[in-house]
Amino acid sequence: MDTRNLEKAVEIFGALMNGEEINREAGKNTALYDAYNTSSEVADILDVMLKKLNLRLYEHNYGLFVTPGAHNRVFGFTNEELKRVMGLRLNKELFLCYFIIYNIVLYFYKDTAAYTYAEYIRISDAADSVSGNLGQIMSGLQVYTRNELEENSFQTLALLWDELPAVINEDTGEIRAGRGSKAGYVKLIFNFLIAQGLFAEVEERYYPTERFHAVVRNYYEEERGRLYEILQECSEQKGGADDAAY
Amino acid sequence: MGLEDQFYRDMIESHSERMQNLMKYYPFFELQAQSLKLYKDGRYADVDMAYITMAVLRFFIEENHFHDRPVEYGQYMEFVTGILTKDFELDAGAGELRELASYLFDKLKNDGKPFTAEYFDPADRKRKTLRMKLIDSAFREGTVVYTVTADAIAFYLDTKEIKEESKITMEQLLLEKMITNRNYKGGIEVVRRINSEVNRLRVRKQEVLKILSLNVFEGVKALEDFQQTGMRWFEEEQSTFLRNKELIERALEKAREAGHGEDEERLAHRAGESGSSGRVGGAQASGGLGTAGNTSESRSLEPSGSPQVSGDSKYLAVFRDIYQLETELKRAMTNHSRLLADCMELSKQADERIRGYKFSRLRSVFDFQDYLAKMMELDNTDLLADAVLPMAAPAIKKRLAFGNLADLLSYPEEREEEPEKEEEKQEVMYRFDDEIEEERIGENYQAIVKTLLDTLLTRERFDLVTFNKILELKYFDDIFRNSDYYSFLVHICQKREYDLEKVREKQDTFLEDSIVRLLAESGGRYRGLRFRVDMTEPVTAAEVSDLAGGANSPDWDNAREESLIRHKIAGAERDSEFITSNLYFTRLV
Repeated sequence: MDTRNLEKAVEIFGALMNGEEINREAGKNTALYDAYNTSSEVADILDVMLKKLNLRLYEHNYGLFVTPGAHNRVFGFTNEELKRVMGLRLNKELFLCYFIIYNIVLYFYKDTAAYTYAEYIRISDAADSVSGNLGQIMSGLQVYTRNELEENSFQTLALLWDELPAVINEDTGEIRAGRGSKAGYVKLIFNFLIAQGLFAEVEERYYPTERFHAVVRNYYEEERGRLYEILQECSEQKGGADDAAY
Repeated sequence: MGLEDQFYRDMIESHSERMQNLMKYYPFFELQAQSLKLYKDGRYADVDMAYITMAVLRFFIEENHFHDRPVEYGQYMEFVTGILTKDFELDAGAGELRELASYLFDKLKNDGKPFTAEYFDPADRKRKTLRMKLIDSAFREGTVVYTVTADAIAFYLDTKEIKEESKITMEQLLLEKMITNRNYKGGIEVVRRINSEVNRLRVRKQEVLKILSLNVFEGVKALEDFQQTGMRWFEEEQSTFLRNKELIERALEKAREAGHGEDEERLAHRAGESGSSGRVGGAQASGGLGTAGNTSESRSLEPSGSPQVSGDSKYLAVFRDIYQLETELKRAMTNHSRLLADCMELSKQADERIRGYKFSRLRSVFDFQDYLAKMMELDNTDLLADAVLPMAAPAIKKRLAFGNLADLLSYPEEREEEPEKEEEKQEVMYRFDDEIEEERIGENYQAIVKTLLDTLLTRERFDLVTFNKILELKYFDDIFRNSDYYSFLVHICQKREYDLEKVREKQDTFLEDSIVRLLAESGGRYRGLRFRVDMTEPVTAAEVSDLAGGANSPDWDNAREESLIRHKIAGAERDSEFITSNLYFTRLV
């Protein structure tokens, strides 16, 4: 192994872990992208390093992007950490945030190959999308028993969402991130997504970044099998539990 | 009008209207309160009157309006005994069931009398009685037939939004009933309700489209639901609209016939006077009238307040109500047609979206919608975490290094951290006095050494006197006032012999450093040069005093004198001199 290639691979790794952009256009890191792109040894070393650390590397539009793999205990967020980061208290609030993020993804991608060509998303668009997807559940919740709802049920999310006002300060029109309103929740999410480099904001319009496209297009296609397996397991467990009840 | 006046007016004048509106619920609660505990020793106490009432009303509406036929007693009997057996699981004989059904029918009809309730009318300050029937009876072709009353239909519709069936159709049935009973004012209210229902359906259509764009599966469900509860009834609704329109036209015709003759002429005359711009007047309009119309269907009425026509007020009020009803119905029909067109479009758009979705299913991609639908089906939000969390950037968790603990304790506390200001400063080179002096001495030594070496190259041997002369020629006698010259003499006497090649390799004295620097600058000019320094006997203290006292001491011989040198230094005020021993520089081959 050439020591210089090892050094280059470690340099790319360091830059990625420091959150630096590595792409053909990004000034000082252009050389790093070229090194990855032209030297198969550099690419191989980097891939091995990332794989051993349970990190995923995606190349998209002449750029490199890294994300933690599933259940990465070192580089990934746990539910509790995310609650701290986003200032949430309850699990159902966190699940609602996940649901909002998923809806934001849905706004741009119906599936990984079908980009909707939406240029940007506004807070109201995201809130409408969430309301639309929870609407069917809500219509079935005209009469319900609060104690019978489980914390990790979509009905709980639907109730939490439905009980929120659209905005808090209607007169000022200012939207503040927080748990007090639908718009507040969505703003909270966008603040987080911006911090993760997935979106950029211009005058309350949120544009998806290259990183967002890279992750959505690659991660979900790669992990498709695993994600559906989880669904299958969950379905079997549920079936088992239902059978046990009889 | 003051606020208080308005308040009282609303309280007093509208009380009667409110009570009339409430009256349609009265029979139901009256019936519900009558339990069957006393009937046949409470054997049928479980039979619920509320359910029986609602079921019978629904049965009558079905027969009277959907099938357009009155109900005969036998049909009622069959229906009620059916629900008694099925829903209440009564295990009684047929005779007993018929007897019970008959008893219930009497209750529902209130023994043929209307249900009555008294109330106080504050406007007239009198107690008044409200009457209402649920079921009417009539003789037709020798048989008693039963029909549901308009009030009963209104009550039934008010109790629930009818999802399964068309609310519009139900309202139209009520309208039909009202037109037949010449209750045109009530009809206007009904048509307005129809209008708002049409608008609701149009809003719902938009919602269905939105759901379709977000989630095809949910969208298809919503579309099916919409088709079941809305679109399916459009044809029927259209026909009932037309039937009601015909009824209104007939009513208008009748009204015109009733007011024919001189009234007709007067109406036309008045229309000419007052112009035909006015539409239907307010509800309080009474007395005069004015009417004009291009066609018989679009008459316009407006009050003129003439006392001459007060006798026609009743006829005119009816005419005006019919006209207003017709206008409202036309508006409802237009809205309904628009809704119809919207829904045709909805079907097309839905088909397109479903087709597009089917195509995308053929590719091996991760389908976000499908995955969401499955998660929602399993109703487990934990799955969301797996789907969303890896999108985040790697979380770099910074932890406290143990070695930094000391820094942490000694770190000065500041209220606010101030950023360090970057200022461009010129870097200053400090030169200390000894450095300056050293540099000067070095330069002077180099100059003197250069003269020495140059002389050695030309002369094989010479003494200090000669050397002094050469220096004096080169630097004038200033050099003898320079202390560096004398220190040079001291330095050069530290070694007896100098080999420049060796000096180049290793320097033993400060002077040798200067020699090396000179050699570096001069190239190979002095390559291989070697020389020796010979010093005569040092001058003793006695000799110094002798020389200072008198020039020629008896003890001195010439040879000794030659070995000494008198250094004369010309000062600004006075000259001075001193004596040193002589030096011989010899070039070695």
